[in-house]
Parts: sequence; C-alpha cells; structure tokens
Amino acid sequence: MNAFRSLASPLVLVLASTCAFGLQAGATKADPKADAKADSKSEAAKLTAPDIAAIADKLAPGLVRVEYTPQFDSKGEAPPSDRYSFSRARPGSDIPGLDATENWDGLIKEERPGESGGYLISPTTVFTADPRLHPRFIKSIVVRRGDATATAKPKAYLRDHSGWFLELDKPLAGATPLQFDPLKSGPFFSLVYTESGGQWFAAIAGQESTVVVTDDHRKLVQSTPGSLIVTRTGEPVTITPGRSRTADDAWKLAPDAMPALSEADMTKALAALEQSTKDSLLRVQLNFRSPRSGSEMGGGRRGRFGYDGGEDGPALTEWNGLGVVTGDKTVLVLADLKPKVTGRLERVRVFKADGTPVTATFSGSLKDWGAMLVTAESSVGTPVNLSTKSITDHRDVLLLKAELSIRGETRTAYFSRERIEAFSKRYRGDLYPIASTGQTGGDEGGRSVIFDLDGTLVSLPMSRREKVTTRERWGEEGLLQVPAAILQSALTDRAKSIDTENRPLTEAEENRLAWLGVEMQAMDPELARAQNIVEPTRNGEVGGIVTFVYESSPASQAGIKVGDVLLRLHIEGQPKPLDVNVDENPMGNMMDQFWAMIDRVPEEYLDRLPKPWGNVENTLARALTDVGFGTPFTADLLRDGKTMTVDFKVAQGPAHYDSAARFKSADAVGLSVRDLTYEVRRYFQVKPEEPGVIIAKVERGSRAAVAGLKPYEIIRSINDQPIKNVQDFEEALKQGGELRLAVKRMTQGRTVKLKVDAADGKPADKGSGKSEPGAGVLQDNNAPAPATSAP
Amino acid sequence: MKIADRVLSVRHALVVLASTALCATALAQQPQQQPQQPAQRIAPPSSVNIPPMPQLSAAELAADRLDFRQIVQQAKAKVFPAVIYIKCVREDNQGGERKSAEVTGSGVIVTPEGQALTNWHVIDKAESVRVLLSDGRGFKAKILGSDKDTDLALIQIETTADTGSLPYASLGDSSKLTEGDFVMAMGAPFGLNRSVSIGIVSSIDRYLEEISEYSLWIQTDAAINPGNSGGPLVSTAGEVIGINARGMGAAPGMAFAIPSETVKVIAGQLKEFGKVNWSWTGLQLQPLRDFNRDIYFEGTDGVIVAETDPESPARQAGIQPRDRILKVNGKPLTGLTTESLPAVRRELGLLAKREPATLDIVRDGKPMSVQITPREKGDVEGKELALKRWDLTVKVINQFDNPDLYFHKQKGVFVFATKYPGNASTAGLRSLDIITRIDGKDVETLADVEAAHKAALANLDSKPRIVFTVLRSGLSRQVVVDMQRDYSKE
Repeated sequence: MNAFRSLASPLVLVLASTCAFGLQAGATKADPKADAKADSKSEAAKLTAPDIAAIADKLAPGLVRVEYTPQFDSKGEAPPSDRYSFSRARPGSDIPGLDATENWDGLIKEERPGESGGYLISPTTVFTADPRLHPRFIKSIVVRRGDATATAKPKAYLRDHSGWFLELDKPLAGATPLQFDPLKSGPFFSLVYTESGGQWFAAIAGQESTVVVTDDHRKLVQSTPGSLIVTRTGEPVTITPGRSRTADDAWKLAPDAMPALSEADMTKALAALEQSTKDSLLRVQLNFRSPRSGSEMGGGRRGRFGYDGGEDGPALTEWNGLGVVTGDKTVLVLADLKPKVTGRLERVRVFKADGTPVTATFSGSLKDWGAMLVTAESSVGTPVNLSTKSITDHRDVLLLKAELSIRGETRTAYFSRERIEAFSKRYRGDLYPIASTGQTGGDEGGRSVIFDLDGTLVSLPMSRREKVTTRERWGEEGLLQVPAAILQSALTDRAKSIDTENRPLTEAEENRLAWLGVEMQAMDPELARAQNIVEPTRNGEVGGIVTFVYESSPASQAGIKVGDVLLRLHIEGQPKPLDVNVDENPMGNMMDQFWAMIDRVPEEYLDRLPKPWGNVENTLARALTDVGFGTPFTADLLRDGKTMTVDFKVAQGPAHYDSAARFKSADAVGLSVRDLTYEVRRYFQVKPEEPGVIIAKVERGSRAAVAGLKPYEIIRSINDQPIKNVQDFEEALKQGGELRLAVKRMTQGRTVKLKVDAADGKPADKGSGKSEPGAGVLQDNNAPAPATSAP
Repeated sequence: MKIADRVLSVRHALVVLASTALCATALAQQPQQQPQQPAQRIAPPSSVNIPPMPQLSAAELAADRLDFRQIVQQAKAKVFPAVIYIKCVREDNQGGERKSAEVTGSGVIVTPEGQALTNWHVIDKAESVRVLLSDGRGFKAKILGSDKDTDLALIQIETTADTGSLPYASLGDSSKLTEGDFVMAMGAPFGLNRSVSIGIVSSIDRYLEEISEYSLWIQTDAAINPGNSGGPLVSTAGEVIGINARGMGAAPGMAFAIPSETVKVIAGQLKEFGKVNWSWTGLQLQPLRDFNRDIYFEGTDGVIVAETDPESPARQAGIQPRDRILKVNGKPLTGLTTESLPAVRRELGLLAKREPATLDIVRDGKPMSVQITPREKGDVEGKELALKRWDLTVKVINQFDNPDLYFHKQKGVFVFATKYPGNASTAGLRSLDIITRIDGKDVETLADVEAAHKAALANLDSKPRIVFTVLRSGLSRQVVVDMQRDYSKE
C-alpha cells in the first residue's frame, strides 16, 4: 500500500509529448493489454507539441475557474488551517490552484478566494475538486470563465472519489459544456486546468504512464486527480477524480453517470448523523480529588512551567470532554490521563442528550490509547455502530465527519463531509487514516470523529499512549485517527487493552511511588570523561551516579553500591529503554543554607519553603510507578568502568514525605506533622529505631507559631513520651494540658511548651471529626505491591 | 512558574532580611565579614527594673540643666584625645581568592603604655594595623588579642623612644548606667575621624539572639555608623562605658555597644593569653521564662538545658535536655529570662578546664548532682586557605561557626567561596560544599587540600582535570575541576 501511495503522487507534465509516455517495464508485464498499449504509444509519439496544444484550444470553452471565498463563521472561528498538523493532507491542497502553503485563514486576510480549475459538463453544471470546507466557512462560490461569472452552489458529491458538482445560477456567457463520450478509445491524454504564479493554463500529458498491480490483485493506472481524459483529437471521455483508475474500461463513465450523492441527500445524511450522535457522542465530566499542596511539584521537571492545571497536568481537578457510547452503559472517555492524575479520579458523570447527568464508575484505562472506559449506572444513549470494513475500503469514499468540541458544559458539534485520502503505517504496523482535517483529527479541544454515510463509525481520534514517559514529552505524537477495527479489539479484549496501573487510587495510595532505593547525581560530560565512560554514557548525557543506597531497598538487595552509574532500564513490555536521567534539585544552593536562614524567614514565607532534602518523586520514580509494581526490568549499570546488568522488579517504595501518614491539629494549636520517612531520616541522620515526627506546617498566629516551632523541625517526644508516629502525636495531644515537646533540628534542640485544651486535641478536619483523609490511619506502604492482573 | 515564584519570594525575603540585619560597623571595602547576623524582632525584656528616680531639688535641677553643655564638653575632653582611627590591611578570602582589603575602624587608648581597645571585627585577619591619634600622630600597632564571641580586641600602639606620652581614657562602670543617661559615641564614621555624636542609653541589657553568647549589649540612639566600630561610648562623667560595635542598617537610632563591665572581664584575658580561653561544656540553654515564645518552666531559679552538643562534656556527663541546673560548684545560676543567659554562659565559660565541676540539677522534680568536666572551647572559627589555580577558598569546619556542616562531618574542610568566573565555580563547586576527596585522596585538613593543589599544579600538563568529591546537604557528589584555564592571567 505504501508503495502504491508513493507512486500515485500527482504528475503534471506541461505539454509533455514524449517523455512520460508508455509503460514502465516492471509494471507492464502484468498488464494483459500491454501489446495494445505499445501500439498506442507509437501512435501517440507521432503527435507533435503543437498538435497536443491544439487539444487545449479545442477544450478551452469548457474550462472554468471556481472561486471559493472563505469566511470566519458566525462565532468568529477561523476555517481550519494547518498550523497544528504537518501531514500531507492539507485542507484544499488538492484543489488545483490553491497553493499547498496557503490556508483558508490566510486567504481571508488577503481578501482573495481559493481557486480551483473546473469543467463545465452542462450549461449550469461544473465538476471540480471538493474543497471539503464546512459550508459555514464558505461565503460564496463563484464560477468564472474570462469575464463571465455565475454564482454556484453545491449540487452533488461523488461517492467514490474526491469531487463535487456545482450548480450555476445561470449559464456562463461564451462557455461551451464539454460533451463526454465514454465509448471513445485511446490513446488518451489527460488535461489538468490549473494555475501557477498567476498564470492559468491547461496542462496536457499522455495517459497510462504508470500501471500498478497491487498484491491484492487490483490493477490501477495512475492519474492526476481531477484530470480530464480526452482523445488525441480532444474529445472528452471522462474525468478521473481520483489518483488512480482501474486498468480496465470500468473507469470510462461520463461525469453525470458517476455515483454521486445529491445535496439534498447529503443534508439528510448529515441531519441523521447529528441526531444519532446526540445519543452516542456525549459530554463527560471527570472530577478529581484535590492534589495535596506541595505534591504537584513532585514531577521535578514537569509542572514547572505552569502546565499543572491543564489536561493531564498533575494538578488537574476537572476534565470535560468527549465520551463515545460503545455499549448500553459503556462509554469510552477520550481523556488521556497519566496514572498520577487518574489516581485522584473521584467522580465520573456522563451527560445524556437532554443534559441529564448519569453517574458512572471507572472500568479501566486503555493501555495504548489516551482513553478510559466507564460504566454508567443506567443507560446513557445509543451505542455507536463500529464499522466492520477494512479501513482501506474507505479510501477516497465520501464519508461524514462530526467535529465535536466540549468546553466546560458546552458541547459544540459540526457535521460535514469527509474523505480519507491516505493512510500512514503507524503503531504496530496498522494503518491509520489521514483525513482532510489532518492526521490528528482535532486540535484545541475539538475532535473529528469519522462516520460513513450510514452513520457507522469509521475512525476516532485518540492519542497514542506511551507508558514510560520521560522528560522528552514534547516529542510525543498528538492524536491519531484510530480505525474502528482497532477500537473494537480494544473494547473486546480488555485483558490486553486495559492498563491496570492507571486507575483511581485511594487518597492514602495517591502518592505511592516505586523506588530503587538510591540517591543519584546526574552524570555530565566532564565526569564521564574523568571516569573514562564517555561511550556508555553517551558523552555524559545519560546516567546517574549513585550517591546513597537506602538499607533494605531493592538497590541494596541487588548489591548496588555508591559510585555505580545507572545507565538505563529495560522494562518488560516497553519497547524503548528508559534512560536514567537525574532531576537536579531546582532549588539549587538555596537549600545549602536552609537551617542558617530558616529563623530569619518571615512567617508569611514559611509555608512555601521547599523541603531541604528535595523530592523523592522524580522522572525515574514516576516512570517506574506508571509501569506498575511487579514489572520485571533490567538495569544497565557501570561499576569501575565495566558494564553490568542487574535484574529487578518494580517495587513500591516505603512511604515518603509526600505520602507519609499525617496529622493536623486544631487550628488554635496549628501544627501539622507527618511520620518520619526514609528520605527524611537520611537527611536528619535519624536512625530507623529513633522516634520523631516532622513538622510539615505551622499555622500563622497559632500557638505553635508563637512557641517558635518551624517547618521541618522534628518533635521527638512529648512529656517525655517518645513520639514514634503521628498516631502517638495525636494521642499525646488528646491528653490536653501543657505539653512539653522535645524539638530538634540538626544539632540543636530545645523544649517547647504548648498549651492544648482537650478540644484542641481533636484533629482539624471539617465535619468528620476524624483525622484528615489519609491521616490517622497509618497506611502500610511496606505491604507487598498489590497483585496486578497478569497480561 | 510556581517554583520560580517561590525562589523569588524567598530570595526577596532574604534581601529584606539582609538589609535590616544588624551589621557590624567596621567600614570595609569588602562586604562585611560577619556572615549571617539575625534580624531580630526585639521585644521588651520580661523583667523590668525601675531604678529609683534621683531626688533633686528644683535648684539642683536648674544647675544640672545649666551645666549640661559643660558636662558634655568635659566628658568629651577626657576621652576624645584617646580616640584613635584605625586602618588595617586584612586578608579576605570571601571572593574565592585571597585578597588584601583595607578596613577602617575606631578604637580608644586605655593605658598610658598605648594599649587600645577596638572590635574583633576591625582587626580580624589583619596583616598590618595603623592608627592615627586625634593629635595627628600616626603609629603602627600590633594585635595583643581578640575574641570573636564578644567582638573585642586589644591592640598595642608601637611607640618609639621619641614618641612622648600618649593620651588615654579610663573605663567606667557600665552597670551604673540607666536607660535615659546621656552618652556620646566617638570615632570615625565612614572614615571621618574625630567625630562625636550624642544620644541616650536606650537599653542597658539588650539581648540579641545568636550574638549575645557571653554578653548583653548597651543600646543607644547616639549615631553609630560604619567606621565607628571599636570607638568608645562615653558617659557624661567622661569615662568609657562601652565599645561601639554594631548598628542596625535600616534603623538609625538603634546601635549597640559592648558594656565596659564585659570589657573588663575580657581585656585582662586578651592581654594575658591573646584570646579568651572559654571553657566548653556543650550545654544549650533555655531561660525559665520566654515571653516571646510563651514558654514558662516551673521554678524561679536555675536554667533549663535545651540540648547538649554531640560528644560534648555535658553529653558525656549524662545531662538531659530539660534538666534544670540550679548551681555550679555551689554557686547559684539563674537564667530567668533570655537576658540572663549571657551571664550564665559566662559563668560556665569561666569554669576551670579539665577539672570536674559539680552541677546541682533538678530532673523530673528530683534534685541530683552531676559531675561535668569542661574542656577548652578552642577556636570558634576555622582557618581559611586560598587555592589559586582552583579559584577557590576553603575553610576548616568549626562546630561553633558551622554547626550544620559539623553535623555532617566533624573534621573537614569546606568550600568557603568560589571565584566567579573561575575553575571551581565553572565545575559546579559551591560554597558550603564539604570537600571529602580530591583526585582520589581523602582530605580532612587545610594541609591536605594544599598538598592536593600543589600536586595538581605539578601535574597540570599530564592531568589538567581533577575530580573532587564533596558532601552537599549530606549527599556526596563528584565534580570535575578543569585547571587548564588560568583566570588570573592578564
């Protein structure tokens, strides 16, 4: 198929009388008519350039220009332009005369129409290429021949090829319709009426230049889309709207005999689609639990430039978008959410055609595609019919398109015609349509779903999901038009298609992370050179020097040592090895002086002090978490310059500062504390058996603030009772009275007295009276990773 | 954006703080030597002593008023000739290279032999000291001794046979001062020597956190500016009752002087030993009553142990945080408020070294007695060294000066400063990085680092890049210092 496509590129030879004639050796042998064609060739060769030019003169009265004047729609929206996709299929690019570098938007600014060559086939009917622009963007269509003009409107659409018929409001003065006779025999010439550099001309070329025989036994002759086929004497035979025609005579049809859909039928079909999609393409709202403050910066690099709140941003709290009803209660929600975001998913509501919300439950995230399946409590609409045809059967055929955009509560839908002109071979070798809207089928929140004329879903735009995402996110592909068959198999074979790791989590689990149990320093070119490991580290671009190994961690169990250089991880099921890149603490040397400055930081800034020990959540931990606990992987590492490999399984790390059990006291006391987690213990050199909880926040103006308590100080005991965790702390506060807190930071210590009323001892949680969610109850993060359903 | 915001905010906070921070008043061409002085919200002391008002008759009062100009003139005349203008050339490693910088300050001659008091921060690391008397005579001077904790120094004016006599002032009794007493500050603000300003005593016992280890401060509103450092604060009786040391940058009208009673304790030791050889117990103390933090302990005598320093005599003696120390060697100690802590520390600091002292303490309501053997406190600041080709200065970790570094490594050397641009800063070394290895060899002392630098220079042609291992926030890191570029080349 690929080969075919490349051969079928338009070929325009201006008055080429000799060079492009005849059949190419390899292809001709397969053609049963090779001998006859050979004769034609010699006959055609006798024609001189002036002879051929005479053909154009003869046909000239039937050649017209069609001028499309685009406009912004009533909402001020610009016609689709190409700014966001770089595929070949640009809107209007196959309209002869409309420069491929132009777009409709540009034409409006330049106050000129898009132009296309056309053929007059009756006094008031013109055949031309179909610009496939939604009618709301077309201000007027004018057909011109010389100074004579007529206003035109759509009449009918070719079913099998790109091309449409326009109806003129009056005959064009001085024009003569072309008279087609499909029975004429060859040799044939093809004529294309087009413009270049302001010059309109008819380009005439010999026919049958290339014959293609596909592996599925189709025999095709390449042609220029929208070309007029004429005999050597200039008598029109037919128009070939597509890029190829069959090698036999089946193509010889007069234009008015070609299968076409009338404008009235098109209107009906679009109306029917609009009606049916009201029940099948629905608005879905997802609501997420609020992320914890501080944890949104966990991504290290991500989120630093303000992407936090966007779709898939780590701090997303509400998502509104398109859901495709695929079963009575099953809806495919086109939300491409990272596991960290899905983890906070709290509520799913599908809005029926009449706006009634139906609550739905999460059923699974698709592994390969940016979408999730939800199950509604009750029937929400009518499932779409998925096309069972091969996607290639839809090539060039007249199709319909529903463009949906959902912004907040508003669902906007436009319906128009569509054609799939080409395919690209992409993920796992499957073919994905390239539609006129471009390969992506959507931008700026809009999505174009493609249907056939019967309203059966042909393809659906979804983003391709790569499981292991690293900092090179910008390199990711956008949306792909996913054929119905691929979607069907994803819906059917859920064991294969669902990613069990990308699912809603409890608040306690929300910040769980995989760990290796090492701290690392980023490799750099100088270090790579100094250690003579330039090659394995790709000149210091990849790799992390192990600077610390946590006890009883996967790394320590695997014998990883300080000084080893981790290079990359080969994760089972992931095609791309994951390079080890270390996120450097963006705070830089601010943290070196943390304790020297903390007493001088004004109270209002204390809340915003970053953790002096940095983030546990980094690109690597995030990627391993997303892969799923239990997944085997092999790490490439360098020890003393020698390459080694070590086998691991992704293991869930123990609680870290952002996932630690926490307790927040009543506001008057104003203390939030968390358990001491492994990285905090390392930073403060607190042994595992030593008690302590760490102060996470001190409310301004509270008793704790007055008493001089500061964030990141450690409370070791209260009234001489060791405080081993937040539960102990909560219990101690319940005692009430004047509490003596033994407080420590680095080498300094002091006793702090806090008066706590019995009522203050209660945690500050609105309503429930219990610890803040996720607190109080000590989560067991050391528990074995939850069982994952084996793929 | 968010993180960037935070950085800016905190930086902003630091800038604000820096500008309001107490600044030492030596006038230096380089940034002030005192690295981090706290901005302190100064609250009223929790104990207020109201001295009895002097009972004066109306006539006496009138005479007092009439005399005032004269009193001021007399007082000035007694001390002013003994005020000296000091210029030092001192070693400065703050820019990541060793540089000599000129510092100016003030001082006051207090003996007929030409011994003069000034601030530690005026003559610290001085290579040479010159003094100018108010009568126009100039001399060289040498340093007899200095103490960082109290910011005092004693220098000897080097006279010659034909010098003649030197003017000198006498030390008064600062404990007799009360708030509201008139005082004069004399010295060389901004290098303008022979300047006098007048004000009153704003507070006689000001406690400034982190810089009131052994002494409280006299607070005055007499104008004290950079260059006044080391000059005398003079009473209306014409006696030196303080040595001016600190101003508060953003708040004119708030300046601080070392009381003469503290000077008397320190100066003798400086003269005798060249330093104040404090004893060290490793006790971190808290007062019984802390109004600022609303923390009150039971009892009205003694002082609370907040914590003990690691591996200190106090820890070895088994003293626990929250023990209340009542007596040392039978002598009562009272740390009622923060203002009383310097005196307690002074008491402990003057204990005999390497001899057991008895502490009477109360633990959990039970009185008990503990033996503690103080040690020499030793240096309170590490020595520095400049390493030219690395464009780097290093300093020895000192537990009193760099407690956070000491927390990670007790014996070692850290990056004091890097020159910018320079080889160390290009390599990514940062100030406060503890250097643990250079070119495969462990380093612990300045000599180790110096030897490594020397070796590196010797092998410059064959090995121009040297790997440093440093400890930063407790985590080890490696950096490669490329020495090929000579940043001092002109």
